[in-house]
Amino acid sequence: MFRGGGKAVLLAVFLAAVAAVAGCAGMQESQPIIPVSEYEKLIVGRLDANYVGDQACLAKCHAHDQLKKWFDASTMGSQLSSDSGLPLVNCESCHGPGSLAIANIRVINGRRTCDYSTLIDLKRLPKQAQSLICLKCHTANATFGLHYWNTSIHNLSGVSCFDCHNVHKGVDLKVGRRNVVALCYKCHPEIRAQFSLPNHHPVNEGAVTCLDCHDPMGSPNRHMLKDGSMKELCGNCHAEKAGPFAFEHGDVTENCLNCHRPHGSVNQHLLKVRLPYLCYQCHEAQHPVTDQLNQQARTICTDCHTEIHGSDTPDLGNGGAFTR
Amino acid sequence: MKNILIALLVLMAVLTGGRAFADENAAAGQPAPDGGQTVTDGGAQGNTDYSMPSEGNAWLGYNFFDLQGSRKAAEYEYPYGSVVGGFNVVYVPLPTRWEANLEWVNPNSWDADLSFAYKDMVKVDYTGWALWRNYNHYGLIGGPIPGGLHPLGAPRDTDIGDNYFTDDRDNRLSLVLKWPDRPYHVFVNMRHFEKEGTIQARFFDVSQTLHAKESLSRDIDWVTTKLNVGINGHFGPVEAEYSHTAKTFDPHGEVEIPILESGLYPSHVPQYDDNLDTVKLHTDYTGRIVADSTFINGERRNEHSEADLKYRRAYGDVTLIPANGLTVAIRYRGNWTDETVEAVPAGTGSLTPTVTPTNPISYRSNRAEVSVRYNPITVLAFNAEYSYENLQRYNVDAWNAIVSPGTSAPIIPFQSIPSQQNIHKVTAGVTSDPARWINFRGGVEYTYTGEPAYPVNPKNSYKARADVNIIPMSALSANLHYRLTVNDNNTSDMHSDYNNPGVGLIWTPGGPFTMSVNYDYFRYNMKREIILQPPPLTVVSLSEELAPYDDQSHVYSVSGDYVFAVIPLTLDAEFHQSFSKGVFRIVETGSAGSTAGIGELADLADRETGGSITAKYALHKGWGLSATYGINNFVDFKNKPQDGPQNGTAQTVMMLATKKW
Repeated sequence: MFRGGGKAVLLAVFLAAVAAVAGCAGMQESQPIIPVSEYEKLIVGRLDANYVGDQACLAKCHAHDQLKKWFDASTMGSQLSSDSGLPLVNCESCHGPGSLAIANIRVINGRRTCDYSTLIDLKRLPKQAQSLICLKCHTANATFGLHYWNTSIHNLSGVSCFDCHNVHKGVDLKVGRRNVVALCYKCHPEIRAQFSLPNHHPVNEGAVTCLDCHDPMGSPNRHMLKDGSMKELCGNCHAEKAGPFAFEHGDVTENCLNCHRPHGSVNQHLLKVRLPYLCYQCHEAQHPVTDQLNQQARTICTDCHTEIHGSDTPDLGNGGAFTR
Repeated sequence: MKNILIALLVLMAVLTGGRAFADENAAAGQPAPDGGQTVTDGGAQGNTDYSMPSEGNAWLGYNFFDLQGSRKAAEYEYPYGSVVGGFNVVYVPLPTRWEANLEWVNPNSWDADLSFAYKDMVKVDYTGWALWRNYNHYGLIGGPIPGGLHPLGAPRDTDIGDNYFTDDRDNRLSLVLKWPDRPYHVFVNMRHFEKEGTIQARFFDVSQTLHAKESLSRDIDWVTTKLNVGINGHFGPVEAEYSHTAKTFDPHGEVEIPILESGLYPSHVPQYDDNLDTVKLHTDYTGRIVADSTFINGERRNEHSEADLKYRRAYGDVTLIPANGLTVAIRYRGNWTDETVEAVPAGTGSLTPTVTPTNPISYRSNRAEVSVRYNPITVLAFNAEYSYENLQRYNVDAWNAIVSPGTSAPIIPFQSIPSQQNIHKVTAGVTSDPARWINFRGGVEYTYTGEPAYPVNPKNSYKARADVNIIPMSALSANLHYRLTVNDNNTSDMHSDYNNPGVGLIWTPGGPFTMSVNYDYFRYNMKREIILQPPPLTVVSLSEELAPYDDQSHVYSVSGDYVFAVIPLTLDAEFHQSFSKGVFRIVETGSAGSTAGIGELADLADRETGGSITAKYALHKGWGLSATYGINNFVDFKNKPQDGPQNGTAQTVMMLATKKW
């Protein structure tokens, strides 16, 4: 395999590896093409304050914070420890320099409290500046999942990282499967009701979650849907319906939403409208109607056209009527 | 998958055991063994141990289950009693971090996740769940038709009384390896999704001796596997990622099902293979100009009929912040598909040996979008977006030429599938947080599709949404929301509207009691011309002008909990109900005679009522007892044979012993 041209490939791989290692120092740095000067001003904190280190903060105030235990276990908290081997990110990375805050320690209700007003007021920052607090590190660390964040509907609608992630809690700050649905319902209450309709995906039952179909941190598709097409997305769990088939249902099935409501429906199979009316919206009834045939012709179309999503087998008329 | 999991668990245990080695180095003041950046921070924190002992909770008990009537009342419930148990554990012996959760209801319903991290160099995430699902057993109605018309035979259900179900199991594993102190990653994502059980196979038996509706039970074991492997690195201002994904759907050789008269019935469930390569590039996220691009090249193939779908996608985004408070996003989405099919065997009997299907519709889609967000002040933001999409379809002439069997009428009589489609969409919205006690979100959207593809697709679509969150008093918060969609298509004479008002209240009067109430109303109304009788099969010609379809649903829930002050007892209660009805009114013209028909068959009215009450009693040293009673009742007021009997009640009693540490 490596005879002749194979040596050239090996040499190219070796040179690429050397170049990559040689350039490592520069690669670790965050290098904005053009700084976001206005937002950066918001997140640098008081210019007359100095960085004092986490121990100085925690020993005076935060040591009594009930969140400290969880914070220490979190990805952020772990970075305070030399044991973790993680690159340093400490309290002041997000909250700003803390010398003024600890210089004015007060006792309120029996608890020592620092002067929070001298720190960055994270909750009152513009949403995009809030996210910038996180992005200034995560842009340099090749964090997965943020590829489409900047143009995502969440970012452009004023949702920040803080709205979904509790920075002080959790081993890796992810929102767990069991918590994510309740989190989404806070801003999308109508979706909760849709999943309570008589026919629904098992979201409230704890099996499927919002993250199975949507990527809240951005996606190339509308509604923040994962995968490149609706057929691909639904095909992750309903692969037998995804095709391609020898006999396709037009290109209707490229968009499953032509017939289905994905969250919940009053109709079985999450159909938009009840059979047989669903089919009659596009197709005229193909069978004669008489008194005798009334029940027979006006029935559930998929009793006979079972393979309505597509089929590999011709029907009796050698066409694609999806009867088998 | 199991072997991979075991191997990873061994690796994780070894890495956790390596903590002693790391501790020794730390004590000696040496750098971390990976050469990573150690914390100096003024030397202030070298003596602090941030590791925490394991903490968590666990429970064990039994779940009693009783079902009367239809399994629709327990659609996602394993209909038998079982031992239940579970735990949530966090263990952080730095530099490793563990988190494990398991919720075991029965062998067919469980949920688990496991996270492991070693420094920032190894990260393993496993998530898995299993879910039992009960399906309806549909009835078959109607009888043989005289005069040689289909169906010739009476409907036949070979397995009357069989219960249908699937046991779905989803296992996902993610592994990320990071080069020490360098922003280079290798990642692997795996998924194994299995759907196993017995389902109802309904079909039209078109053998030469029998033309009739058939139903029989069919065992399935469908497995979808997905493997995604990639590399990712940060190269100064640009991050690059390449990944390859291979997905396979394996029906385990299921290609035919037996029937009595015709021997083997060729109902194929093919195997699919999907392979795609993805390249992603993006600039630094924090710049005033941020850009990203994605290129995808893939192929999905049906291994039975050799139908083949090639697809390519190109995405590009640019975000600009030209001024403080103003953000502009520009997006491009390109999507190309080419689908081809081969001739397929037609089957046995007098049918022709092979059939060449109509070549599928392929398309090219190009979409451009511009979004603007403007924050004139911190508590007020405006959003606007315009998007234009051009979609070109190929092979539509062949599809538009397809006629209804025995007629010259097109298969879609209302309109042709357009070869070119232009879609314009405009949205505008506002978000405001004027005070801590109120915030508002609202928006409108208009979409114009010059040439709708199908009669159900709108030419004009109007959407509106509004959300108001109010805290009128400290003990009460309220959410009011409204969603509206109005669609019309004058080519197919379609009009529909969708209304959804709703309200949510959370009442926390203080002390031991909290309560929340939610209510939503959905109404979907559609009017469409339908044709029940195509010429020349003229027994009776029926054409319904704007036959109305209407469905409505009320969904509400109440939940609350009460913590007793004197005894360590907590009560949680929850109640929910949905009431739905659907009506399709058909006003027949001509001489069809009987009014029993689509209208009656499409009628819908059902009510689902559920609730639970849980009592938790805390004992000493973290021990506790818990008992939960749950009930779900489903009433089908229009109990139609084709839906199967749906009235039923499911009840559960779960007794648990719990422990916290």
